Amino acid sequence: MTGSAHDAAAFEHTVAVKYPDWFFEGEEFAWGDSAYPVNERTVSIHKKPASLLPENALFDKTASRIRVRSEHCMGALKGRFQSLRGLRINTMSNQDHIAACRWITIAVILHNLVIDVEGAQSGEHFMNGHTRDDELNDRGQPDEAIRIMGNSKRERLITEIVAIKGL
Amino acid sequence: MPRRNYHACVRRTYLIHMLLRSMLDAPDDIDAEALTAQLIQDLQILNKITNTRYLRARNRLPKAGNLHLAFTYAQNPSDYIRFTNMLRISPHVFHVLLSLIEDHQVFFNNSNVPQTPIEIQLAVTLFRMGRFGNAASLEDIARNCGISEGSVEKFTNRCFDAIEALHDTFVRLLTTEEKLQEKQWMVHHLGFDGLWKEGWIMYDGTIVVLYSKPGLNGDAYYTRKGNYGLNAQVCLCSVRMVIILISL
Repeated sequence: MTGSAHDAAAFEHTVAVKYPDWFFEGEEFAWGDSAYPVNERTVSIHKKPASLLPENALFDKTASRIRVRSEHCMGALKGRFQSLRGLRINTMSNQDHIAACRWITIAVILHNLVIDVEGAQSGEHFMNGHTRDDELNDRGQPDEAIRIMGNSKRERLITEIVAIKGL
Repeated sequence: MPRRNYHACVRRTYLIHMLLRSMLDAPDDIDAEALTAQLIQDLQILNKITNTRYLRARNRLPKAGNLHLAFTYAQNPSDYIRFTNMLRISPHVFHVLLSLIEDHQVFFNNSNVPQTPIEIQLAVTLFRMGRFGNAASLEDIARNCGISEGSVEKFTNRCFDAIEALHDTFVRLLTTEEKLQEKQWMVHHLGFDGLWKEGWIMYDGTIVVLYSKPGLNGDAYYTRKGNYGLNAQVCLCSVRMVIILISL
């Protein structure tokens, strides 16, 4: 997708949304940030004002601890392969667009290869090369969610965390 | 102003020379025969300028790369960090990657002239992937690696072909055992068991910024932050941070 695409709009075209039963098993679900729709397969943190409720705040805090790892992953990826911070491809034709996508794919393959060989901590060396601020600079604040439906999974997760941790 | 090529510069200089000559050296009486001869000679020279392929001597470009330093660094464990800074992966991973791609057919041709050693081609590719801005320009990469600009492109394309063939090995869904392991890690990380451990996948969208506005449909690439880029939707494991799906 091109840069003007809304995160939630680009997300609709991923296999995880188109073929959820192939992708998920049983109760499995995925974490998204507040830009993503909420349903049985996607659970995201709350936005204000809902995030001000104490049980929601506890949920958000715990969920953010998991979510932050995705930022670390992006930091490791873009810090290691810094060409992703200013991809030098002149998109003059469809082939060039494909070449740009290929470049990103190669970086991802190498990223996974490095983790398979050396483990996740190997990226730490490169995280300073692409910090959280840089990432925010690239993409800006999350978009507003397009729609919210099926809160029940999130409700169950909130009930569970409140039962365990207490308010 | 667009850069003029050397032929255009020479032609222009000659035309100015013609102009100045006829202005400063204007004859008192007009001799048609001499002027015609002059004009024919000028036209012949202009024609020659256009038809001569190389107007300058073609000398060998001096090259002094420093890529060999990476392999020197790889000899000594205390210099491994320098190798990593240069090629973005550690010497160990480099050798694993090299052994995975070296049998790819893109590195073999039926020519009498052998290809540059695969480790050099891979090193150039990795070096290029680790730079951005001016350092990522073809000229700078070529100068740093001591090869020609065309070689940089060729090496990168070949290595990309070989690495792309590994896509399904490294970017894939997890097996059942790996999922179990991932969920165990989640329980360990959270400190409790339950529905929460089922959320071992994360979605994230990120913008891969382009260095300039694309020539084709440039506006479609415009992002909220005022730059141009591609939106990549990534799906990754919470614990190991392996990317299992990427949608561009």
